[in-house]
Amino acid sequence: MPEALLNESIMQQLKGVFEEMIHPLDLLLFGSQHNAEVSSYLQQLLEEVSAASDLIQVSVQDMDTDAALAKQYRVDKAPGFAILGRQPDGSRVDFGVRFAGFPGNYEFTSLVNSIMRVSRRESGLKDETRTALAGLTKPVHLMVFVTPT
Amino acid sequence: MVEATDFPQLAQEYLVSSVPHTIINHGAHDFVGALPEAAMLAEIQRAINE
Repeated sequence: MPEALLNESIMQQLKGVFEEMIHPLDLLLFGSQHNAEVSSYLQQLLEEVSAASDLIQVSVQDMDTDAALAKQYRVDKAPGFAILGRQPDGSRVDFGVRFAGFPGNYEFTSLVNSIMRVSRRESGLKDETRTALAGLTKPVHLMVFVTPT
Repeated sequence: MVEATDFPQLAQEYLVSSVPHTIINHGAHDFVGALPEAAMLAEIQRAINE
């Protein structure tokens, strides 16, 4: 079994943070043979994260063999994953949150924050921003490039 | 969120050097750095109105 990516101390902290979760989540991951090593690490990371809360489930798919599903959930970079709300009937709620690549170091904090935002349905935005965004009439695609330094 | 080290070709395509670098609508508009909320909203609105 590979060595854990998250040590015991981090797992305990995560469990504490995740106690504030409200709604359950699906982490829908698409790996790729073309990026096998990163895909494998990312799968391991998400599985360890999900072990810190009963409200988080990980679903592992392949970008090539599950291309239709990837297209449905607008995941176009592999490895990449969507953070989706999970309804009581098992259906998913999409808030447009996507990660591509392995979120290391400070980006791990971004992952945890995103999980909390989706689970608590809290964007953390001011009312005037939310009003303006609700009024958008054209689609907006945002890609934020980061590095794990 | 896109890890530039895992997607170097994509980062190069969008001329990403310093991060965070935000690309709006596949290159319609972009900005570098973390902006305050109102400024980020303004960038989004500028991108869709161009």
